[in-house]
Amino acid sequence: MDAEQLKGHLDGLVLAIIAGEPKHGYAVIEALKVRSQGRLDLPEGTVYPALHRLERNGLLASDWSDTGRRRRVYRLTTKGERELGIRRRRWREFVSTVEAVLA
Amino acid sequence: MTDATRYLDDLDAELARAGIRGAHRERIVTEFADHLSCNQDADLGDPAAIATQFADELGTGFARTAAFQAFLALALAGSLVVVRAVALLPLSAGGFGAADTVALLISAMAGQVALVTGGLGLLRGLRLRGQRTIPQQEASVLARRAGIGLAAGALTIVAFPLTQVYRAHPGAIAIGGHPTNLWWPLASAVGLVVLVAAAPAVVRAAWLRPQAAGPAGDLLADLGPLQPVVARIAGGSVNRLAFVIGIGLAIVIALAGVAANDPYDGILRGLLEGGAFLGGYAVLGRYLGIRR
Repeated sequence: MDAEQLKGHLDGLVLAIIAGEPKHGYAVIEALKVRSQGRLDLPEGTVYPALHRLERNGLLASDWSDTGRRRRVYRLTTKGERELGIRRRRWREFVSTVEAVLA
Repeated sequence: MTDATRYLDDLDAELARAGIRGAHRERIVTEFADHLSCNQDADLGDPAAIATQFADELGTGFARTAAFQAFLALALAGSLVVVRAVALLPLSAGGFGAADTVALLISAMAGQVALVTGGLGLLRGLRLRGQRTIPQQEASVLARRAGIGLAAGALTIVAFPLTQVYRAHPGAIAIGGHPTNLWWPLASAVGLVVLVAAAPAVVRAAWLRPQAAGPAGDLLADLGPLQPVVARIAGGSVNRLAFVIGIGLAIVIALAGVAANDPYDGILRGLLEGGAFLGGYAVLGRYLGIRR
């Protein structure tokens, strides 16, 4: 699955990845690869604009962490949790609708 | 120089070229450096494309914020101008000189420019609020409307106090001599502070603009759900719409003069207002994205 197909879904995927526990950018990309079983193929740098955008929109919060090297760690906000719930519900509706037609 | 170092240097340069400065740029580069320290062979993507994506999204947010902050500042300052006008009423009983009249005229004209540009900035900002990125031309229009609005608002406020400083009007300078005299300098000062506080957002929006290509809309595009109705009335032409508004403005003011038993003054003021509106439209219309 390439970056073009992911358009519009990346934000939701990032929220879902961070929902488990706070993560830095590299850990987000790694988790995306692992949970998609390597099927998500996008330039790794594209996750950072998404992280910054989600933070600007109040869905993520972040802090610097100094554990050996300086890195930005992101966590879900309450608003982000709500948004993730909405996105999950919409996605299930979308999948069941398309599935009903295609099947 | 390692590949990682070269990549980070390129990214830093591209971010700078895109207008991303200071803490923003430092944070992005630090995050990418951390990523590369986890995996030196990571495919982070083209630095120019990454910088453009950041600039598009940041610039879009900055432009909208500038429009909203400018409108808010102008609304607050406008309220203070009303307070000032009320506070000036006792002074006007003693009569205004020629300098005061000129200052009030400038103040009135600039106030209308501030009202129109600030309001149009808000309309455009609201129309574009759901979009992740907007074209550079749209961002420029937002920044210009906000900037001109704030400048005109500041001129509205300072025009009258400047004449007072110049002429050392005894009634006006003697703050505290008359209870109402305290209020007009105070309202002027606070209004000016409010407008200056909104200026950094405009500077930021002017400095960092999205890179995306595309045209900016015109006045008709700003009207949202009213657009089809107004476009039909104006025959789809913004020039015709401006002409109708200018003539309508002149007629309304002239009729107000007639109603106040001062038809000559009404007609004169109507012609001045209508002419000023059309002149402003001709000079600033394209710059402010009112017409294409």
